[in-house]
Amino acid sequence: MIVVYFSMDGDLSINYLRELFGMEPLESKAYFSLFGPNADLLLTLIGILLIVGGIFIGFSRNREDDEFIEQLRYESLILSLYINSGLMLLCLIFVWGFDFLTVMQFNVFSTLYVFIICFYLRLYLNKRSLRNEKQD
Amino acid sequence: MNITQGELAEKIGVTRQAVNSIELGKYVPSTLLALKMAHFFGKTVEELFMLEEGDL
Repeated sequence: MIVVYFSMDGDLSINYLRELFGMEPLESKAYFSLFGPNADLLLTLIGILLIVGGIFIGFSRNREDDEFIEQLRYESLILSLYINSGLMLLCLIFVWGFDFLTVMQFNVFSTLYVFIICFYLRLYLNKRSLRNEKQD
Repeated sequence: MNITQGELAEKIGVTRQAVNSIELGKYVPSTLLALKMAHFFGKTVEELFMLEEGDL
């Protein structure tokens, strides 16, 4: 990462050098970090909540839960991994330079949330097909 | 035996979606669930489930 910073942005490399010699970096903000001189606590807390909340939403037992739903969950998890990898592949090809840092910030949470979307979508589709059958 | 999917699901402790998917052949139940279903109907598992040609 440091090598990348060096080669891509002069300003950041100066900050790195300043940090190396124990000086305060110039106007740098460590967005997702609890520690460090300029850590943004609010963003860090939001990040923690997003991950812990996502784990609860995705993996806690539903009111109606059995081995079939569990199977659906595991399949969605694998599906979401494929989808997320595909998205990241596209981003690797089409996003350059420092914009990619934004992609990486999203990537911190994306696997979990793609999984949640996959899982609840499949759950919904399953329930809908059941409803349709009842009407016949 | 005249029973709905919902009633069967309730009796063996799974969701109606599970019973529906098993009936449609979309989901293969675990051994435990297969045994429970067989026990409920008073039959052996192999009377309820069998291998298809593609499985052999």
